[in-house]
Amino acid sequence: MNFNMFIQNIPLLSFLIWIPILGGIILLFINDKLPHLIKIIGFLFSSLTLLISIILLINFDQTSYSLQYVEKLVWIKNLNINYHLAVDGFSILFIILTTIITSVIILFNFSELREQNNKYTALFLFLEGLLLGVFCAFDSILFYIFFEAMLIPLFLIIGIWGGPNRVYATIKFFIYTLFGSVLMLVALLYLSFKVNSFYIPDYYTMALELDVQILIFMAFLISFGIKIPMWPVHTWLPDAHVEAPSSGSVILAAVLLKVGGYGMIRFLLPITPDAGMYLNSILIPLSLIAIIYISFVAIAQEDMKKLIAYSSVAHMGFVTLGIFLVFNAINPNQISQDFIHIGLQGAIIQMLSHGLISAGLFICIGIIYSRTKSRMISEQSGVGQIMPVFSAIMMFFLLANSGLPGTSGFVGEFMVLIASMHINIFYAILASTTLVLAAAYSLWLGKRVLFGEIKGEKVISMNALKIDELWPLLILAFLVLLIGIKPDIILNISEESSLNMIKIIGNKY
Amino acid sequence: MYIESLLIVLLPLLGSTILLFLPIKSNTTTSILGNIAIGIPMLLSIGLLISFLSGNISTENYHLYTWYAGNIYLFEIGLLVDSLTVIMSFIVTFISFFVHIYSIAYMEKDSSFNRFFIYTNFFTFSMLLIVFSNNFLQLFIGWELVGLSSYLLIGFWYKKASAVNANLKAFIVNRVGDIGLLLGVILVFINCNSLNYEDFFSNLSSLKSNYINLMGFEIHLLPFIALLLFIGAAAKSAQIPLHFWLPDSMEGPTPISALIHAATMVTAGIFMIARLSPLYDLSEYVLDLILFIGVATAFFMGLVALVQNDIKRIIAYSTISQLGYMTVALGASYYSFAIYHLLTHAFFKALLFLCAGSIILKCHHEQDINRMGGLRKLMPLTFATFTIAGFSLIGFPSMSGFFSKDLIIDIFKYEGNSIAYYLLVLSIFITTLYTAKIFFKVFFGDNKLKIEKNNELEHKDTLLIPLVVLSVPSAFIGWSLFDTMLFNNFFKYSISDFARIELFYDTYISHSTVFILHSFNSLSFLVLLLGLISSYYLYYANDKILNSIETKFLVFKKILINEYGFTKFSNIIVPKYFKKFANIIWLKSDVNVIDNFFVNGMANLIGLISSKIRLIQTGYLYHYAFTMIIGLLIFLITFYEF
Repeated sequence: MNFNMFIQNIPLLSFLIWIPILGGIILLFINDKLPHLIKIIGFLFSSLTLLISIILLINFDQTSYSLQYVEKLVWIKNLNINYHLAVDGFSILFIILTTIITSVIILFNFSELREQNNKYTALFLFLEGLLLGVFCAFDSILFYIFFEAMLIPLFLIIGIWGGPNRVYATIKFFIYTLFGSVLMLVALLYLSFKVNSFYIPDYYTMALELDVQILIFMAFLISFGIKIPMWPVHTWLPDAHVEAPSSGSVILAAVLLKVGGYGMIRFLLPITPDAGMYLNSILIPLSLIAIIYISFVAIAQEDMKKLIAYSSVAHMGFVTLGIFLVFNAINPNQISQDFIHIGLQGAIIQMLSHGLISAGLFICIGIIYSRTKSRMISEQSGVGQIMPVFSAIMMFFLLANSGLPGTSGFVGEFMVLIASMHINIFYAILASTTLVLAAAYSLWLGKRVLFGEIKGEKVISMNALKIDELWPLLILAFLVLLIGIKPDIILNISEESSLNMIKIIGNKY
Repeated sequence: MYIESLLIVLLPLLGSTILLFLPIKSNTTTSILGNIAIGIPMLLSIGLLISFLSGNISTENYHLYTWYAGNIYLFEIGLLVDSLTVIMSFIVTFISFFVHIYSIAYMEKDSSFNRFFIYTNFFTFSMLLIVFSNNFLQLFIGWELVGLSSYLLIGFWYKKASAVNANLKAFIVNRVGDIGLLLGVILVFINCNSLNYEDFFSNLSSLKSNYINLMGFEIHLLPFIALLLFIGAAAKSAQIPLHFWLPDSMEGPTPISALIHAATMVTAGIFMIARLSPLYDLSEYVLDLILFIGVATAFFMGLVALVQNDIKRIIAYSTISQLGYMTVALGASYYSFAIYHLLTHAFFKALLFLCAGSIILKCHHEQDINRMGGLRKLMPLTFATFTIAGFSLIGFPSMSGFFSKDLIIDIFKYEGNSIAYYLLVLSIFITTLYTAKIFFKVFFGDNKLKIEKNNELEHKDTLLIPLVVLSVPSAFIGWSLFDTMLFNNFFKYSISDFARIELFYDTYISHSTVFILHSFNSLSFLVLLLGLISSYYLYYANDKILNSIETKFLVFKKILINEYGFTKFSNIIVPKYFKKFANIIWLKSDVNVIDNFFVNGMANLIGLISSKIRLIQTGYLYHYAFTMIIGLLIFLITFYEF
């Protein structure tokens, strides 16, 4: 029996989801006083998950858009609800992102001792398992359960280890996102009873009336739009970031937001393309507002974390722009599907890239905060003289954040701009202002924090970078650079799935 | 040729990477590694240039790797080697190498010696990425990476507030230009399904009749692309109105000003337009605009140099003005002439900056020329090389600068655009004045700084060798390549204007010696002499004349000292209102309206309603009993069938 056969026969996806959760459960029983044991167990389980995801990636067939590693068990027989796991070209990328970011976070967590470190680490493993569940689930009820459940660990992470105003932030975050997902549940139930199946790809074949589509579209849009987040439902994000501990911010920005984008690709695009096209002239301005208006808001920020949080919203504007442009594929005669396809691929790589870059930036801010106990920009100056290596790395991430070519930040924006230019030149002109605005907020932040004269004793007494802090940053920087220099290693993975998605939309009507 | 060109591009990157990751403690190791990484590419580039000059002109297109490929399109990274590449690669590596040599001595006392060479090696790589690019994507990548290098090097001394302000400004102004460039590149892509220059040029004839709809106006596609790309070129090559970052960029170390902000990076815009000459040939109105901007830049920015006193700022404005000359040549579609001026200018302007660097070191980082003086005897070699560079800059017949600059002016003499002609001739006068101003104030007069003679700086070899070496091409390269390269079909396969310049050569020039002899009775030589004589009186013999002129034209002087208001505009007005606007959007709209009114308002509303409804739940049994009885009565009355 060769290795491939072996791979096909073991339920890898179930392992992927449940191994970190098992690790979390084990950690809950470890004594809090044994930091080294916690470290080893956390590291072991996160790297095991990473290893599985790498095996999945290596054995993933890039030439096909069909579902792979399918696992199907009957769960609730009467309702035809199954424990149905699989991956396609979209989900495999997000799986890899999740496992990499979690490993990096677990590594980074060791740099700081905190109370109840075992529970803290356990929650990240729970969160990882649930996030992987979201990306693997192809049964809508299973998807919904993972989608909802993943709020709980983050709620606890922010609510217990967060900043002074954490109660307000967690309740806002929780209620806001819960509100969205309830609407999604209604839409899922409607679709399932209509098609008499909870298997997500079954929804793609339905022909729905426009007015029904619009209602379903709105339900999904509110749910995923809050998650990603889109303007104007973004205000929970800066608050959540500001109160979250550094690692919480990292996973929130790097992976949780991407669930919104993933959901849009999985549900909005193939199920309700007519509604998307009908509402296109509203949706695209919303994305452009996110890019331009939020960039200005980011420029005005005084708090480093808020600045990066707002810049996340602006970057997600490019993701939604790329996704919403795909609806234009419904008119295959006037629109070249190849350019639309570039836009969709751009949206996907923008999500991955933002995951890596924002993770890097939030870790950097966490490192500064752990030393000066302040996130205010005005209280730091001249960090570059005290911590030169750290400053070089933070500058690198800031430049990547401003979309510098050669880093992954450029690829997605470039590709989405191509699609928007094809649809309407003004979309492209407006979206391209990000070149200046993102440079303004990113580099101005760098200038104020890293450059200049040293200000205040807190900065002078900053410690050098610890090894637990350096490695996560180097790993992320390497990936940012790799994707920037040769993006097709990522783009090829989702190539067929994204072509298929556009074909589904184009053929449907 | 594949291996050579690959090595030329990649060795600087390798050098930069090695210096970044190896823990190098000694300056000697750093300088050896850093210089080898540029030295070998320089030798290879010279080899390529010689082989091209001896007639082996070819155009090679190599595919390196696929960036991303789809059904009908391919984004790739590749190498294009043709005569334009070869000459640019020669300029970049040659000047970069000698600036590296110079920097060994110039930066020796700096604690960040290693970092400096990481940056300069990386810059050379990025510039070569542009030069060797065979497609628009790689052009854009290199374009932004040279911007990054420039950003890092202007802010090299990052403790200095003025340096980090200048580099932010430089980056952001360049990003404004990059918007134009990127949109242009994307328009090319969606119309050709390809970003390769080759595919684009072969599609040009079919795209000629394409239109693009802009708010109901039908605009020709190609001129529109040309215009967008020119915005990028204007920002990078410091043309009005996007020039104002360049004078501030002088905050960086002086070798950087020589390498990046005079000789190579700022000429990337000129190079790009020459590279895309077939596109610009089809964009008549855009060429007119380029011509107009070029003339304005050459003239008005030269004027600003007259009133500056910082030696580096004068040379910086001189650079902008000379870039204006190149832009003018582009606008007249004599792209080869622009490249030729780019070539000679690179040498003499780099030399000027390096001389200025030596002077500044000698004067203990004093940059105000009014406080200097009498350095002629203290720094004889610097004096000699500065003189050569200065004569080349003002275009004294037989010097390198003469051949390239007079050629550009002659375009308008013979093609009859008198406004451009007279403004450019007048610019010669201005150029002469400000060059002589530095010359007299720095090298003649009293030794005001009381610098001692036995200071060894003038004798430091690594500081002097580059000056001497660069003075050779500054004096001779213009003449030596004039007949053999410029008019010998050298650019036939890379720039589209070869027929035009052949005609020009045969009709008006006939030979370089004739060109020189002819120039002695031309208007530009007269103006040059006038400039030399008047600068002698103004800056050396009698400074009362200058004072009386300045008091008479005080208004003009003020305008020039304020640099036409660009400095105030970019340093004070834009940041202030930008921040104000951002604050309004954040506090008024995001916090007040969206968050407080809608989000928290919703929560408060629900809280309010529930606090009212809660009052009904009193907990008293008789309240509930009373409500039940009332309810029952209403129920009975409603459903009772009378």
